[in-house]
Amino acid sequence: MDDRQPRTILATDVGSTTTKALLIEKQGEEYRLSFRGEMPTTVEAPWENVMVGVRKAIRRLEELSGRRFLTPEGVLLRPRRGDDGVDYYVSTSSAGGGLQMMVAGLVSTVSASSANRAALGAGAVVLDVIAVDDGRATSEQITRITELRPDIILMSGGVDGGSVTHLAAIAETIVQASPQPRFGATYKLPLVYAGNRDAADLVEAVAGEVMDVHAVENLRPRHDLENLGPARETIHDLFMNHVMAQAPGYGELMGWVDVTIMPTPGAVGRIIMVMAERYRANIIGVDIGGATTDVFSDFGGTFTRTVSANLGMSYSICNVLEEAGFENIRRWVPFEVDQRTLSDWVASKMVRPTTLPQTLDNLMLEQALAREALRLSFEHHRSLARKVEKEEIVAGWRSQQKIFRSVGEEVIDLKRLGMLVGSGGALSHAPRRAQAALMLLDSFQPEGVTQLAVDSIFMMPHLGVLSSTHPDIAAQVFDLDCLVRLGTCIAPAGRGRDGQPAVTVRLHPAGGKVEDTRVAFGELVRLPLAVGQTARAEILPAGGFDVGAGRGRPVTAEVEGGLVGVIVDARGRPLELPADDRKRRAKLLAWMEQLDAYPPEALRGLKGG
Amino acid sequence: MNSGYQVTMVRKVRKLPLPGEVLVQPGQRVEPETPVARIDLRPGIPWVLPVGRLLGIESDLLPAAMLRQVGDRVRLREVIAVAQKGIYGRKEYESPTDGVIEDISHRSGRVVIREEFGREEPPISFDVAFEIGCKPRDLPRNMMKKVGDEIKRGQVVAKKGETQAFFTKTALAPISGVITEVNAQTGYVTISRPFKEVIVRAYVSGAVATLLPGRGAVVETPAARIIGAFGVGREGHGRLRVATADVLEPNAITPEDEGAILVAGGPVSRETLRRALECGVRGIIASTAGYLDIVEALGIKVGVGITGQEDIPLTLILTEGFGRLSMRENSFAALRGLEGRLACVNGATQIRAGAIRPEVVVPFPGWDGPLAEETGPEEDLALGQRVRIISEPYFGQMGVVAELPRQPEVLPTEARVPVVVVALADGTPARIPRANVEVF
Repeated sequence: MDDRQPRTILATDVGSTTTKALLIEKQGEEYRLSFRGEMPTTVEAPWENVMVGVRKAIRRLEELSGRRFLTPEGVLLRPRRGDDGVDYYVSTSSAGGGLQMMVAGLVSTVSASSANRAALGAGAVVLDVIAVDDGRATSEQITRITELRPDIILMSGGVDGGSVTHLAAIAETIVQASPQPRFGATYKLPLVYAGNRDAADLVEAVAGEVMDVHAVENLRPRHDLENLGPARETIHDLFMNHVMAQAPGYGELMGWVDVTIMPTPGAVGRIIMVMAERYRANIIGVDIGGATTDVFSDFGGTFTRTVSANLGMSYSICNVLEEAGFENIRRWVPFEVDQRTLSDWVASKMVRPTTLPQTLDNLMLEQALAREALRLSFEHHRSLARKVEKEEIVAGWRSQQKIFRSVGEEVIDLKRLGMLVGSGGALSHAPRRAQAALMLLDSFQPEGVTQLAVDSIFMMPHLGVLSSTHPDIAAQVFDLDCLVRLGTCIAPAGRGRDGQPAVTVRLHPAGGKVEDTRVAFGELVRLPLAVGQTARAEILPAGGFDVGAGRGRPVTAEVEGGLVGVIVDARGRPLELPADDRKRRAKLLAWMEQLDAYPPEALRGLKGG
Repeated sequence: MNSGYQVTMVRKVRKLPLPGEVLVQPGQRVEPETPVARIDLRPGIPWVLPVGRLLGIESDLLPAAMLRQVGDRVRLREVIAVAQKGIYGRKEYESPTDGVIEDISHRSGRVVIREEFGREEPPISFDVAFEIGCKPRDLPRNMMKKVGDEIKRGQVVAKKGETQAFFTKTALAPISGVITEVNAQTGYVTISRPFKEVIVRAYVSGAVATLLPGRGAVVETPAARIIGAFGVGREGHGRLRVATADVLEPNAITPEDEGAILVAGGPVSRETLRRALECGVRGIIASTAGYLDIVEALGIKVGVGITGQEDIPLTLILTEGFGRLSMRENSFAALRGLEGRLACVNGATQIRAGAIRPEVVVPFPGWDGPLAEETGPEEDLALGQRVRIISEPYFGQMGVVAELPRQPEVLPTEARVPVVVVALADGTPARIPRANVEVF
């Protein structure tokens, strides 16, 4: 890194409830997080100016560090003078409901689904997906588009060089609906066109007068190719320059930053992509919040983000109960609980989202709900994370319409998952790290060899936006301060009888003693391996079990240590819990004990009861 | 302070979602039912017509073939386009609907006509089972459209006998609209006009303070206002009656309570909610209720913590939330002091950023006494303050702040958080996370 690199970097994330400010500094040869301040976001009345919250969060950093970053008038001190002031400033934002988009394409399973992925990947909430074959009549589509009030519309369709007629028709449908932007009527609604390049002029001609048309590279230049990057970048720029610029205070914030403000989930996605490339591994990241749960994955270079808008741990916690059902929540609870008590407790949590579990029972209930929220969000993610669809065109003899059939290949293969990163209060702030590991194992059920980690203090958005200009600094801080390594999980896939041998793990720690561990089916075993340590693991699965190389085939892998260590999860995949209540509770308690996930005396108490 | 309640100046922004017509004047006195502003949403169904193709002409020749232009009002069966091909090749296109031409495209050859509906047009029911010759109970499976679908005049509503195409019988829609009912007892289908009028009413009695041009007005009134923790149901109003200081039992509600707002100092049960619906009670203000009781008795979902739009005739406001707690004394004393007055209630709750909590507003339109400043519900903790604990294991217990330790402490869950020491009613000290107490 050369001298022109900044030494002091300030990063803020203007979230929907709080504004978080971080100070990243060069300490010796490394960039490290030095201070963090958090204050309520001030986009709503009575303040109606985001800058109030941003300044307060920076003032908090000043208090903590005993240095000055703002002038007495509240202007950012730049350039840095000695210890005061900063060299570089970046920010993300999800205040005011984030980015809301409508997408349109030709075929719902092909271009419209690519457009949907591009919008989600850019960090948007997708209001509706319009396609020629979505089963709605044009008049119904027009009515629907008129009702929506998106921030940006993304339109795609056709391969480069293909027919342009249908695209003109879609553009026309959008114009005929005359959609209005969400904030004010002072600007033209942006339309990002990312379809057949030959139709770009036509779309401009159709929509240019009433909308702000931006033509970018085709999302699907060929049937077998998907290119979401350029559209995503344009959406980010438009988000900042058109949408956020309408919100109070953002004009000033835009003047402060050194690189365009990004939507928070878009920035998180970016850091996941950067890290997948650096670690050369497939990564899944999950952020479980109060209202929503976002899942990000980068598998073999295919990036996917999904939002489960109504699965969260406070505001939408009742919805987790409704969607998962009482029985699914109860199965993770190692003591008796009835539906009335659970539902009242859940509803109280919704009404008073800031309360903390004070008893261990309540903590276990909260974590049971988190498991189900994570499981449902991941199911949703898997259903959407698909490789580019192959198309088959079947022409019906009666109609002139072409019927498209498409087959998508699932992208997520848990056996090839290298790292699973959890973020959000339920995972990052679990009192014992083993609890976070257990929640990740139970809900995602990774197979083979997978590293587990959590985000220490939710700094992925800050690092994501920083990575757009300084990927090395972002990666360094991510590795040293953001990631809390829990360890590595070794999980053979397959099923057997309880007590039947499932896998033998031989660990060769660097400079340590080689040890064999035999693990029977139904067991969860924790092997100590500290943070920063690595070991070579020879994994010998029993006949019916697969750790990535096929049934019964051995695998040798380099495993990373962590705060929990190496976890051998021989509970089987898919993970099934005993139907009998007493047996199920005994199993849960045994697993918790084996991972040392809760205070042992409390677990003994539950066993006795 | 007088009889438990404070009168503050309450201002309510009464606003349309989109620009419309404002119906009040500044200074005008309004009652809860007075319309403040109105707007017609969904101004009819758009008809997308491939006129170019039907006339057999190229799309770019369509504008020349049109007899009527964008913005013109056209009638049913009026000729709106003509194509001439040689001497005998005259083709005419008749409008399939009354409406206004919104778009004529020379690219796709399409014309968009927006069908308009008058406000007074009633829904139409017709005997579809008879028309297609099926039994009423077989009607649902012969329907081509389902309830909620848009349908246009002349479209097939239902058909019978697909296999023998020659004998197929169909029923066509006599008007455009939305299918609102398919009755398997009578065989009738009802089509309503999708005309939707949104009226914003004053909600409270008071006076118009300021106008919001094109959107609505701010209505203000001196009033007592009580905030709840959670609510369901829309805005409404009625006479306030304190039914009990304790648990509200079903037999405490009588048919005379129709339209009233009932107050209970304790929880409300599933049976009581059912009884209240039967008797036509307009609102219930109680301390708590069971989550399952609300969901089952009122038939609603509260999953995402955003309420207020439920289609139920009862508004329920819980001052303390869920489970079994009694109402805080000052809220109950205030409601008792307001008994017999007109109360305006709104169950709307949104717990996310910029939280909205349900409210009871009791207007005092002629008030000339002093006005109190409205204090925020959040206060910092201080020694000697009365608090209530809102989490296990002391859920619902009351106490006094005895100590505010500076350093975070370790809870039984092993989390380290800032705590408060609360002296419980019997004097025992309890160490509670600061986030888990409410100033009482």
